[in-house]
Amino acid sequence: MKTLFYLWFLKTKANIRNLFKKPASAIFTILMILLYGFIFVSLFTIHNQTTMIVNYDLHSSILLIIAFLAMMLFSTMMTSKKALFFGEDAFYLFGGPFTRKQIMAYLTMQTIIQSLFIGLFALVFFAGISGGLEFNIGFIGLLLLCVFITIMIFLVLTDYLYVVSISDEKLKILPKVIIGVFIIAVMGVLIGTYLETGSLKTLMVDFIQSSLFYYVPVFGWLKLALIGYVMQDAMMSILGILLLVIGLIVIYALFINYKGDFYEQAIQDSLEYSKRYKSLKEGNQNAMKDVKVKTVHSRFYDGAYAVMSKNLILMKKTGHIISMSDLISIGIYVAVTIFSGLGFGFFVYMMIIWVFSSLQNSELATELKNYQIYLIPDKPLKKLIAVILPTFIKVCAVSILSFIVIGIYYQTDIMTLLMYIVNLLGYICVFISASVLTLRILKSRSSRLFENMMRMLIMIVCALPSVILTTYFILAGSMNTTMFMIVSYSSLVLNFIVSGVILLSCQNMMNGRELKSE
Amino acid sequence: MIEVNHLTKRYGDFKAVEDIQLIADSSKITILLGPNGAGKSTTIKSIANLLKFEGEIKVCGYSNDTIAAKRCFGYVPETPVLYDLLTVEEHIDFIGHAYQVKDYKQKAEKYLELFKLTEKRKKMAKELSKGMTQKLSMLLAIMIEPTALLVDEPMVGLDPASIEETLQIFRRLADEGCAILISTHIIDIVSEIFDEAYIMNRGHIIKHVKKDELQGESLKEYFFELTDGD
Repeated sequence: MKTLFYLWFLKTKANIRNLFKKPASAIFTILMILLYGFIFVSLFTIHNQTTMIVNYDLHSSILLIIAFLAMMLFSTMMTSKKALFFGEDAFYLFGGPFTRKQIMAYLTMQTIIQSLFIGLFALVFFAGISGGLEFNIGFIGLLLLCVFITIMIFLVLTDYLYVVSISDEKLKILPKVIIGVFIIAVMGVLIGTYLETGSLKTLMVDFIQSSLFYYVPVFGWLKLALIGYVMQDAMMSILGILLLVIGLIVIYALFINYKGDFYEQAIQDSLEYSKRYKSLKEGNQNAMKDVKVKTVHSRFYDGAYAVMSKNLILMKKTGHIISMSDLISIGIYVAVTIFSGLGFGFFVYMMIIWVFSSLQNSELATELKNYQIYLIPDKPLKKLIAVILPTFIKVCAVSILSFIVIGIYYQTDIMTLLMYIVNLLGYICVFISASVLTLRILKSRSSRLFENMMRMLIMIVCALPSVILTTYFILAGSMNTTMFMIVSYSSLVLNFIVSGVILLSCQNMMNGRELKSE
Repeated sequence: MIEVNHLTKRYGDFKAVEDIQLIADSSKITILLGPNGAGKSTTIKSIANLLKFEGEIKVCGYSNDTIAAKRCFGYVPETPVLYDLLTVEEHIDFIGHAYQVKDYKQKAEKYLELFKLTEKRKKMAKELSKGMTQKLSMLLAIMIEPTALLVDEPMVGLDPASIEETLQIFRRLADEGCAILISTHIIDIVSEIFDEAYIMNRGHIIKHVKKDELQGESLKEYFFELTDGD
């Protein structure tokens, strides 16, 4: 076991060393740690003496973190690409002089660290959604502990279901069954709450505060422990923690005592997983899923625009022009906008977030790393436009379509609708040009995080004139409707101008040699 | 023709190649030979304009960063870079249109036959074997009818029969007037077909030799004498 601990130590050391190898990467890592630390400290209003009370907001915040965990853990459970280890670990562990117990212990150590990180991430999410609530350190500690155990239960369960399904293909259905059980349990609580109160109107409010939820396995126990703590009901809180711990022990015992032969498939899956993970890190967004490839008719434009044709064909083949996940996300935004009654402005805000995230998943960066683009004998600016266009077309098509749908619902006049569309187009241009600029500056060292930071920075730069103008007009006492319009348009116009300037100044990177980091 | 004048490539303080001078003439197969880390791939990538460098590189008389130069050279990288989801045929369509090659389908057909890829034309790149992807990568570089061809370690992943066919294709292209520059460290494979060789070691060209200057000595013996068996 000492050897395996040493392996883990060496790997961790190597990862840290790699993060601090380059000054830029080191600065970025430190900034990220400070940022997360800042979020933690600033978002949680922690006071030792705070007396917390059980109210609707606390119930809903706890249920939201439960929903967040459920979505994350269930999607991990449902993913078709699973492996116990990364390829290199599997190769040495299964092939080396290690007992099954040692291998399982190493895996457990991995799971503990993973759970801790996910737990901390979930806490940041919790802090974000529970704005206004005050917590004491005891609650935060208990929350972290319970969330950690919950995540452990599901990760060990996922590993257990994986090894079990290796020896019996039919058992592959188990994750679906388990998720189904949880859904039924929640539905049961919903029905039970209705039967208790008899009020359909207040069903959601009653459900959120219902003590019936404590009967939902794992998630209910998590809520029981937390609410028990706030109610200062030690028995209730201890019961919740005990149930979680017992749950973890049972699942872990099942896993560690599993006698089936899974080594061969586990090695294969680990190697395959590593390959896909590497591809994902290189920017292939489909690396972790088996994408269904359709046969499509291909037609290519000449010169640089052959790149655009090629990308459109790839999008059509994978159904990515308008994908199911795009439709689901936008469907959720539409539903939230309509049911919350927050109006068109809120929808625009949601769509900007969608554009932001969908551009993160675009193939733009991957495409710009393919040498063939640079060898094509055509003008650099044409090549840059050809690379950008498919992503631009996709994002615009989806955004405009959803604006029209929501516009019809709100019976918005055409001019206002057009203004919203133009506004969003401005943001799309800013986000795309930020990706290009990041690649130009950071070259092959560019990453998604850097791209996001650059997007934020350019957005701030574009917003600056309107901020300055607003301050000036307010100080001068001449702020009126016309001035307000001028201020709004200046920011919008600047989005387009800045994007154009960035693209023009970055065009030479399409020659190739400017893109490879030294 | 490929002309490299005073090429130096630095990575920080380290010079990967220094003051390289070489000419790969039309109608000739020129070999860039050297042990691992000699600077062969750096030289080839600099010629393909994929790296920043000091010095001057001309391809077909044009500076290598111009559209005119890009139009006349083909590049076969060490590891094929293909689009997983595009079929062999779609790759051909893409390159044919991107380089605006007239009658590219007919031209590609010839090489599909030669590389025994005809039956694989509807297969996606991800469904091809390693050797097949290498062949497709070569096909894409050759189908543009280059007047200069850069090839980086071309035989990796190819079976003996394919190596032989590839060498014949290179010879034919050279006979048709193409300047071919091949980087390799596997001397045996190229010893028969080369016309000229530049031997590199530790970032420098240490010898330029023409085949008829060897006087019965094999290229391998000559190479080991120069590189102290590296």
